[in-house]
Amino acid sequence: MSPLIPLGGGDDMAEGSDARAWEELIPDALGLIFRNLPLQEILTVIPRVCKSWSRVVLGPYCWQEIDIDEWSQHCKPEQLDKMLHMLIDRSCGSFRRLSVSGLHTESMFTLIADQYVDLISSHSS
Amino acid sequence: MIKLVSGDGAEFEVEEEVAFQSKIIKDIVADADDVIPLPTVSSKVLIQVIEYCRKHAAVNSFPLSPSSSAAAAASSSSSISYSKPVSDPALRAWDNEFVKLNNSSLFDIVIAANYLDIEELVDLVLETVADRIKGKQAQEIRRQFNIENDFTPEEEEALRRENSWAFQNN
Repeated sequence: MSPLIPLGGGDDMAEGSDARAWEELIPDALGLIFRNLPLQEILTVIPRVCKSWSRVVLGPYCWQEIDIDEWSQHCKPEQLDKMLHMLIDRSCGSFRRLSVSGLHTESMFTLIADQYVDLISSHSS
Repeated sequence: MIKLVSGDGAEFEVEEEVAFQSKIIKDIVADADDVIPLPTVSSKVLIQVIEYCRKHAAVNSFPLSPSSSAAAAASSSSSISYSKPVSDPALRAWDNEFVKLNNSSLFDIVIAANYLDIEELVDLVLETVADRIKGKQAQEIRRQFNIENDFTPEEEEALRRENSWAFQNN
């Protein structure tokens, strides 16, 4: 396994001190944390915490499993298009699972199919 | 017995099945000796990690205790899976108690658990951290985790607007 903090960074033996460099955790680890959060928090709260967290949310680490099923049941069709484009872009082709409801246009299916994904849960409306 | 030596020189003798909760230690022992220096892990953290490994080694060696097998049968027919994190409710409860630590301690434990390749412990800590972030505002998260706000107010406002389109009619 690769180290969770960048080599040379962090004061790993500094006990007693309250400061731990949560912003310096490598993106994979932060991605694993963020992926447990609701979509709205990942997209609207986490990016505002600090620059390094913001970068993680923009990159592929949070988006290997994209679950927008609940959100997509309440959104407008054009919002769904925009969201899918945005998240698929961010995943950089790394996503393995997508959960979404209400795919309505052929272009959406094409977009997803182009990513060679293993589509586990998709319901066409 | 395996002897683990922390970065600050403390020695801990543990049973093989406890030490082998760490895949790295298992690999090291396979082709070296039984004294394992862990220079990046402090004794304080190593004590906590050993406590976790001891508990999990004990439970894993009796995976089908009456209570856990009954629970497994009740929840799903396919739940006898040793790699799946913690299907035993009693162990789950123990884990929940174990992670009642401050954020700095959790940070140190997750770094050590990752170094030692104890996958379940890494997952446990990262999930716990996610639970502590959930439902909080950015400012509160920064304060809780001692993170400096490195945005200008303008940048922060721009970020606030950026994805708000997605949640305006929910």
